[in-house]
Order: sequence, then C-alpha cells, then structure tokens
Amino acid sequence: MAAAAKKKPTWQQVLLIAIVCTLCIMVLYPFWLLIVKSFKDYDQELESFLSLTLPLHFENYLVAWDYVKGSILNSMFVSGMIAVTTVTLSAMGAYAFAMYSFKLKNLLFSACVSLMMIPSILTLSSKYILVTVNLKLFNNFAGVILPQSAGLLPFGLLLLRGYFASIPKELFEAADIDGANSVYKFVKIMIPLTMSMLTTLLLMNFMTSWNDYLWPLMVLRDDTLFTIPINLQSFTDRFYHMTNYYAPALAGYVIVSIPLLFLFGFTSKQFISGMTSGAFKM
Amino acid sequence: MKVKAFIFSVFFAAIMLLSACGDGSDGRIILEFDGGGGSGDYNSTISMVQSSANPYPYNTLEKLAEEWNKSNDKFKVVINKNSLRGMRSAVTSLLEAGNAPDMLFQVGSVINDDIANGWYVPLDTYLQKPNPYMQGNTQWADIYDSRELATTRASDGSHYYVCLDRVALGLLYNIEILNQAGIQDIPVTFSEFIECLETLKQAKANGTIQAEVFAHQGLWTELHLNASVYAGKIAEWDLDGDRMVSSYELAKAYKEGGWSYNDGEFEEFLRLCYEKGKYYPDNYLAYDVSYNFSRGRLAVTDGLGNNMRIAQSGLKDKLVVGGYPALDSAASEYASASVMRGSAGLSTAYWVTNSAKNKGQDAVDACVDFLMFLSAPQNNSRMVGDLGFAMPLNMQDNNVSLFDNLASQYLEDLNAGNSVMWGAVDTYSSFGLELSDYYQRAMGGFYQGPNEGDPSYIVAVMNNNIDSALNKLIANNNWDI
Amino acid sequence: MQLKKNNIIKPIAWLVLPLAMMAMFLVYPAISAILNSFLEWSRGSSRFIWLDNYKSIFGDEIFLRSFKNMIILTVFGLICGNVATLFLAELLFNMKRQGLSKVFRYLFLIPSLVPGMVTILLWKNIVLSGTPEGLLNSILNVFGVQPQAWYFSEKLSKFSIIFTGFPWVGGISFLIYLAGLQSIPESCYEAAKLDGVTTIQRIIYIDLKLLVNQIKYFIIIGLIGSVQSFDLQLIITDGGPNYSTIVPGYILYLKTNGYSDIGEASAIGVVLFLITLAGMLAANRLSSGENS
Repeated sequence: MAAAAKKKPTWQQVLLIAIVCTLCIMVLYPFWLLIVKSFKDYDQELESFLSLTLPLHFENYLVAWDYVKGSILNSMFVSGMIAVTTVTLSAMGAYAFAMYSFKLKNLLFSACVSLMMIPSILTLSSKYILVTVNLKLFNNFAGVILPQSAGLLPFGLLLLRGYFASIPKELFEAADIDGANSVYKFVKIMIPLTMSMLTTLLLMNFMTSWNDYLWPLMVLRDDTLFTIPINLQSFTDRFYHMTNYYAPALAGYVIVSIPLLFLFGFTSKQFISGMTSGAFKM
Repeated sequence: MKVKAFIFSVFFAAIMLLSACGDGSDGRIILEFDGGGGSGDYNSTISMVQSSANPYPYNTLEKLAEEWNKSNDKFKVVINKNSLRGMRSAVTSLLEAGNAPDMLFQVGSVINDDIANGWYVPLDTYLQKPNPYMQGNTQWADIYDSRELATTRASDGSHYYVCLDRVALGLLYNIEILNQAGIQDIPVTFSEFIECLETLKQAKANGTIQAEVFAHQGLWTELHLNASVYAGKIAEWDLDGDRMVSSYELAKAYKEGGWSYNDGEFEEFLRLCYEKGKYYPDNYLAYDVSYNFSRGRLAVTDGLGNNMRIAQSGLKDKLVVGGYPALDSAASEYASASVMRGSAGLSTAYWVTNSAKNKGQDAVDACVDFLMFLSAPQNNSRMVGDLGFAMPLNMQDNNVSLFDNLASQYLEDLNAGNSVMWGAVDTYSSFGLELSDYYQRAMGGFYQGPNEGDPSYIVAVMNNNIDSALNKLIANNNWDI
Repeated sequence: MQLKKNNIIKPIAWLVLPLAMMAMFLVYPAISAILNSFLEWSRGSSRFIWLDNYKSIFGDEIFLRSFKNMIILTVFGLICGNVATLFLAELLFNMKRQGLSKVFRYLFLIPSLVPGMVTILLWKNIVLSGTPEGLLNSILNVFGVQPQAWYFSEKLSKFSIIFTGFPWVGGISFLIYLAGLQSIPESCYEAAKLDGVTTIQRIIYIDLKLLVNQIKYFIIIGLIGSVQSFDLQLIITDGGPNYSTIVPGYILYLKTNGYSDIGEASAIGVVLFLITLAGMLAANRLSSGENS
C-alpha cells in the first residue's frame, strides 16, 4: 500500500471523505452545543439559547467542579473495576463456549443471553434486597461493582463468543503440539489476537457504568463514596427545578467527559495495535 | 500484567477497607435527614458565594441541624448531601430493605399505596403532644389549620407525614403585555379572567401584541374549577365533618348513586375548562410554557412557587402574581363558595421511616423532635424564608415580596372560614393515578384536536374506567362500601 | 483438530465464575419477577391468581395497541440504526488515508459522551420542535409546508420517535463493525480482486456474510433495547397523543412506579421477555442457515 499513498486521491475517496465529514459535523453538533451552552448565564440563555455568546461564564465550570471533584476518583475506580471484571469474565465464558463442545452448550448459552431480556425495573427491588440485606453490601463499592458487572456479562458473552469462534483453530494447533494447557492458550494466544474487540468491550462497559445513576444512588450512602452521576444528576435536577436552565449542569457534564476522552485516545492506540498484530496475513 | 493485577487488587482491598469503616463520629447515633423540597430544594448549595451559577446559595437547614445537634447528646442529625427527591423507583426498594433515610422527603399522595407495608411511623400521638420549641403551644397540630391537616390524613385515619411549608400557587401575568392590550388590573373573578383572555386574544388578532394568550404550566386550574363547581355538594357528601370530601366519602357517594360523570356538574366543569382552553396556543402540547413566558412571549400562565421565581428572573418586575380567579355566579350557575386562594396548602412532606423504627423508640422520638424543631415558627421561617421558594407555616412571616399577594389572600380566606380548601372535592384524581392519567390524556384531545370541546368524549372515558379504579381502591383499603 | 468432546471439566472450570455471578445477581431476581406475574398484591400481601394478570393485560385494548406501536418502532429503529452504522463502518474502512481514518474514528466516539438528556432536549426543543422556528419546521417552510407538531401530532409521533438520533451513527457500535471488517482476512480480498469483483458486490457478498456475528449481536441487543425502551415516552410524549406512541415498556414503568400494579407489570415483563427470546432464537435460526 506504500506505493499507493503517493497517488493523488481518486474522486471516490474525495466523495467518501466529504460524506464522512458531513456525518461528523451532524453528530458532533450536540457536543458543540453542550460546550456552547455550558458557558452561558441566565440572561444569555434567554437572549439566544443556541449560539455562542460572549463573555464566557467560567464560574459555571467552577461551581460544577466543586460538585463533582470529590467523586471523579470514585467513579474511575468503580467503572474501571466493573469494566475489567466484566471483560475478564466474559472472555473466560466466551472461551469456554467457543473452544469446547459439551452437552447442552447451546441451551446454556441461550439461557445466559436471555437473562438480559427481563426488564430491569422488575428486578430492581429483589436485587436490592439481595445485595444490601442478604449480602450486607450496603454502602460498599462491592455492592455496586458486583451486580453491575453481572448485569453486563450476558452482553459480553454474546459479543465475544462469536468473535472467539471465528478465530481459526490452526493458530492454536502449534500450542497444542507443544502440550500447552488451556490457560496458556487463553492468555498467550486468544487475548492478544482479540485485543481490539476486548478493548472495545472494555470501553463500552466503562462508559455504561460511568453514567449509571440509580443503582449507585441506592447502594451508596457516605458522600465520600459517591460516584459522579449521583452528584451531577442531583445537582442537575435541583438546579433545573429552581432556575429552568442547564448551563452549570452542562459544564459538569463537559468536565466529566474529559477522563473519557483520554480513555478513548488510549484505547484507540490499543485498537489499532491489536488489529495490526493479528496474524491474518496468509 | 501481573504487576497491574497486583496493584489493582491492593487498591481494591484498600478501598473496601476504607469504605467499611464508620464515619468516625463522636459515638452518637446518626439520624439521616433526606433533604429536598416541594418548590425549592433545602439541601445546601456547594458554596454560599452567589454567582450566576449559584443564584440561591443556601445552608440554613444544615445550620438548623447543627443547632439541634448541639443540644442533643444521644443523637446526631445528618443532612444527606444528595436527596432522593422522592423518586419512587429508588424509595420503595430502600424502604423494603430498611435502608431509607430516617426522615424522608416524599410527596404525601403515596400514602394510600404504602399503608399496608408498615414503612412509616404514625404520627398522631405526637401531633397531640405539645411542641417544646413553640412557646405556649398545647398541641403540635395547632400550627396547621385543622382542614389543612385533614388533607394529609391517610385512608386509615392516621397521619404518617408532616409538612414543613406551604406551596405558593397562583396565576402569573406579564403585566407589560396586559397593559399593551389595555388591561390595567389583574382579574379576580372567573368572568373577569375570561374577559381578560378575550381582550388579549383580540389584541393579538389585530396586532397590538405578539404574545400568546394563555397556556397552563400545571393542571391546577382544573382542580380549582372542580372544587368550585362541586362546592355545593360538600355538605351532602362530607361524612366526618371536616369539610373535605375524601376519596372514601366520594367513592361511597358514587356507589350510592349520589353522583356520576353524567351529571350537570361534571359537564359544567368541562365547559369551564374549555372556556379557558380556547385561548391556548396552537399545538399547545408542544409549547414550552416556562421558556416562552420567561421571554415575554406569553401573557398569562399558572404555576407554583418555583415557577414564579423562575419567571421573575426572566421578567423581573413585569411579573405580577395573583390568586386563582374565583368562580362567580355570573360565570356559572353552580358557583357557591369560593376556593381558597394563594396556596394549595401544605407541601414538603416528611416521613419517619422504618429505619428509625429499627434504631429504637428513642430514635423515633428524636426524629419527631427534630421535625417539631423545624416546624416551630422561628426556625421554620428561617428555613423556608432563606430559600424563598415557598411560604412558611406561619404565613405572617412570609418575606418573599413576590408571594405577598398570595399570602395575604390565603390568610384572608383562612380567617373568613367559609372558603373551600384545595382538593376539597376532586372527581377525577381522587381514585388513583391510573384514572387520573386516563383523564389527562383524554383532556389533551379535548382542548385541541378531533374531540375539541366535546364533553361526551371525556365522560365516556371516565365512565369506562371508573369502575375498575374504584373496585381496586375499595379492595386495597378494605372500605365498607 | 477436534473440540474436546465429553470433557466437561475444562469448560466448567472456565465458566464457573461467570455463571456464579449471573446466577446470583440475575437469575435470582428474575425468578422473583416471574413469580410476581402470577400474584396479585393487595394490602401488603399476595395471593396466587395464576394467569389472571395475563388475561387482564391482553384484554386491555391500550396494551394491544402498544404492542403494535412497539413492533413498528422496533423494526424501523433496528433497520435505520444498523444500516447507518454499517454504512459508516464501511466508509471508514475504505478510507485509504489511515491517518484521517484514525482521526474520524476518534471524533465519531465523542457523541457517546453527550448525556442522553441533552440529546433528548436538543431534539425536543430544537430539531423536532413544534414551533415554526424549529429546525425541521424551518426547512419545511422553505418548501412551503406547514409547521408540524412532530412528537405531538398523532400521525407523525412515531416517525418523530424513530427519527430521533438521526443520523444514527457515532458511539461505540460502529467500532465493533469496524473491528469485524478489519479482521476479515486479506486473502479474501485478494481473491475477490482477482475475480474482478466491484466494491459494492464485495460489500454485499463478502463483508455482510463475514460480519454475521456482529450483525446478530446488534440485532439482539437492539431488539432487547427497543422492546424495553420508553425514555422518549417518559420525557416527551407520555404515550400520546391519543396513545399513538405508547409502548409496553412504558406501561410497565407506569404500573410499577405509579399505579402499584406489580402483578400486571411483571406479567408484561414476562411477555416482553418471551418476545425477545423468540426474536433471538429466530435470529439464531436465520444466521446458522447462512453459516455455510
């Protein structure tokens, strides 16, 4: 492909880039709006609620920062643990389903996947009593991490099983000849080959749990343990109820997207290296 | 990989250990108080510095808690930093598990659904005791008007919550637009109100004003009209003499054939609703009322205390607030007594939950003591007045100039004694949320759309659904009807 | 090379942790939800009424109507969402400039950072606002069409709900398709090129076939999500106008949170569960037919 890079771009490529650019602008517009509106004060919001107004009101960010600063580390820890736990367990489970064949395998797999089909509102109450009363995990990070992880497992299993199954078995044969056991095959072969998908799953789970509001609110009580959405959502509701505009709350949302932006950048690199290291050239 | 895993597990263990520790308090038992508030939120803001991002700095509730804590060595009240705001999905699970805050903020209307679960402490005995923080008080219940208190009773006759403020409620007028249309004073009676709306509509038609005429922000006007139209029936249906027709009394009257949706009263009620609904803007369901009113694009709307404060920050002194227009006999043949103006009554309900029960009778007593402390006028006026979104229990202490009209009207009506309370009769939302929702949705099409102005459509919807709603209610409450 | 049959120890060892977690936190609450559907709660106690809850919900005309709405919203939602995402993944995949592709990949992730509330407000108040100044209404004005009420018009409310989120790209989903596309062996493409296959044909015959796993994933996830979703109904339409946008998920929410009808709510939940299960089995059946 190195030789091709020197050629002038074809009209198809130009059209492609134009379409992608247009789509990009359309999807980034809400994010732009988020930033623009986060700098407004009430009077600016009244005059023109869509366009950039000067002067920019940085005190929105200062107030929002005060509300969320205590919970950023907590959120990172909780979301990180949930993502890692879910991906690890999903990968283990998907490995079992993809590499082995045993009786009732498909039935078991369908049963696992079907667990996410029960609407979550119905299970909220009994799950809560199980976690806080029976397992005594009230006001404890584990009470948030373990159930949420379990909730994301079926998704992970569904995604990874098909992907693992499509990895050609020949790549494991060399290891079989050397007499490697399944743990070796899992860690040294499967994981590196599927790193891009695993990273994507990690990112997905991190983001889902980053914004999770209701469950952490119910389980955590000490304000030193609060995760970001508890503080931010509470602030947003209160502020809107009393002023009917959102600017400081939006500032809060911009602030808490910054760790995620870093995470995107980091996983982007992993993503690419995962793909190029895959030994798919034949 | 191994190193990372190791670091993770150490970190994890550390956090688990830390989170399991107590809060290092001084050995006192903690009583949690869930902040929140009907019109404005009583949780402390993050700082007391006022800025556009922090327009209502507030920490009075926390300060009051500190004062109470100083004089109490066994218990310590802690205000939760983030309120549950009465969110049912969270609150019901918390109550079932026994993890709810000891003093919980939640709307009062859920009591009839929750009675059988035993989640709340009945407060009747406490209401009959004197409030130690009020000089010369013989009964805590005296701080409330007896009719107001009657509205907070559950279907089994007990009180399970006490209210800490009064909600400001009225019509909001953009006086600049009214003046442009040639109206100088805000209307007082319903006939004047309709006349005012008609004048505005003419002014809009001939271009004198550009604003829309009227749109509702809450569905209070209809409640008001309902009570006004049925006021004459209260004497007939009220069985326990509290001048309110509770769900039980209304259900009993229905089952005994005392009224139905086919009556003249209900049709009149719908007619009056439509009278004012004619002036709604096109596509009124899609119309953002608060947004447009604050920007001077709407002439008249209604609202609670927080709607009024919000409108005031946008309109500043163009905003004038007045009580709901009283139904006069010129407007309707069913008009008899007037409905209380200025306030729909008590709000910001606090409950003592099973978490306090589990901590012992002392804890329950302490919780009640704190609630008594907060309702004592000198403290209550500080708590409510410093925020300025509602009116304190002692109306004379109201310090928000925006609510002055409302406070004085309410006091006037309360003292005159012949006014009808808000919600004294409510023929469409007394029988559960489901029937109320059917009504709301049908009314959407009644104001604009294919069934516009056609009362038979609403009557049909109500008749179709009243029986199942009533039967469920009767079964759940074990009424002898 | 054979999969080790009959050796059940190894797979169980791998599965024990995930299964234990799911059993504890998912199966146990789900069982109580299913049990609830056979009970009637009244005055704090329950009694078995077997299938009465099911009979009453299926006798409710509004519930039946919500079914129809849900099917329409689900089918169109799935089609629009997946076609758009695949389209974007293909575009980025075919971009010759890797650097540019990387940049766009990063940019298209950013919309997932926007909180759902902002997006919904944006659509309700700006894009599909009923006022003549709304975005789509202004565009229609250029063509001389009257301003529409969108979410609040009986004819257009379903369309408005489906249209929310246009152009349906961005976020993580396209990354998964992209990862799938990039794992297709080069050899396939070399062979196709030698056979003189055009790009369009390549997309239809090769990419789609080899992406079947990912497509199945998104169909199942999308199905589950659409069948249960009700946030737009909750925030904007309240199932209206005139029940044109009501969905079973919203009725379920109302019954748990307002009407306190846990028995009927659980019955609805079980029905939705069975529907998504049927959908998943159908998807499995179709795709295993393709797997040659």
